[in-house]
Amino acid sequence: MVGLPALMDEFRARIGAESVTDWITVDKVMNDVFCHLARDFQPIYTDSRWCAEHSPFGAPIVHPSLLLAMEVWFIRPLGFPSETTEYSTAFHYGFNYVEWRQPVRVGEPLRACVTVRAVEERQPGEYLMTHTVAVEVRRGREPAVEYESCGLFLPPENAGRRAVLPGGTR
Amino acid sequence: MNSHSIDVTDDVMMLESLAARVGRPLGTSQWRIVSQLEADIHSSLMGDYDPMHDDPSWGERVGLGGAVATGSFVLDLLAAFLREYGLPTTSTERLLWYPVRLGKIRLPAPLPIGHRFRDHCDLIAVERDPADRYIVTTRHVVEIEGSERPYITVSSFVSAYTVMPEVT
Repeated sequence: MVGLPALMDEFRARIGAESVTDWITVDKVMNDVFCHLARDFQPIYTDSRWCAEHSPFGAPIVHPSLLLAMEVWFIRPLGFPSETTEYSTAFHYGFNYVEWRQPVRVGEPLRACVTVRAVEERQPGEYLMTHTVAVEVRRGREPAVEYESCGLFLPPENAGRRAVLPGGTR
Repeated sequence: MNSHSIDVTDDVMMLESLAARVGRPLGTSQWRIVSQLEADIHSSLMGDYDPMHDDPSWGERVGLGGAVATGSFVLDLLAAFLREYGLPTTSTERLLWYPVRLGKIRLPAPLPIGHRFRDHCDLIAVERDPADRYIVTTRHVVEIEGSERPYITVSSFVSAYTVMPEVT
């Protein structure tokens, strides 16, 4: 039986259990493109020569916001519902907190530990799922970044209720 | 006297002068848009292919009126917003800037691709911590043009400045 309630039941059963991604890296191309999108292209993220001379980290670091934007990259291979399907639309509802504790260098192996914290049915057929993401690097004893994120799952026929402008968003 | 000591003094003066603006609006950004091209690049980068962001016809069908931006897209712009208000968020050999913490963030309304939005920012606090860093706290509400519901609210954004040791 596939459907939003069944999917949410499955995640309710996973509350408290940690899922861990493979070790991956953010390469220079990915980081540079992201810096452009973020209107934040600057040497500490992008310029190896500058970093060797001036940065306390000695090498370019991953843009801090990229580690948030990568949430879908982390959770989708772990089976978390984050995309639109025939029975579900997923909206990012928000973050409860984000903490950046140490920088991650470009090309440095990192992985994410993802844990479901709560699944609530806010209205009949509409669910809020809360999970934490802890991004780890091998040299650190504590996560480099940690955040708690909430996803709102609605049946597709209810998605239009989120629209902000009369007649949809146009 | 070398050039580094002059520049550090300027940076410290700028940070000290922020104290006078605490509790007041720091600024409102220019209107911006997220283009479909930017949304598509973002999706490719994150492997987040989703009709919600990439397929306007899907958005029409479900009543969203078109494609909408990923929730995190505007969060990516926080450093750029602060720069617009005169806070240097580009690290230099003298002054290191980095984000520390975000408080509660909510996304009450989806942002239509191509629709104008802008940030409203208040300066909540500027403090010196025991490590002699300047800790700056701001609050943000990102408005969608023509919508009473904002795209995003950021209850607190804490970032830090470390004045680098003087190099001679």
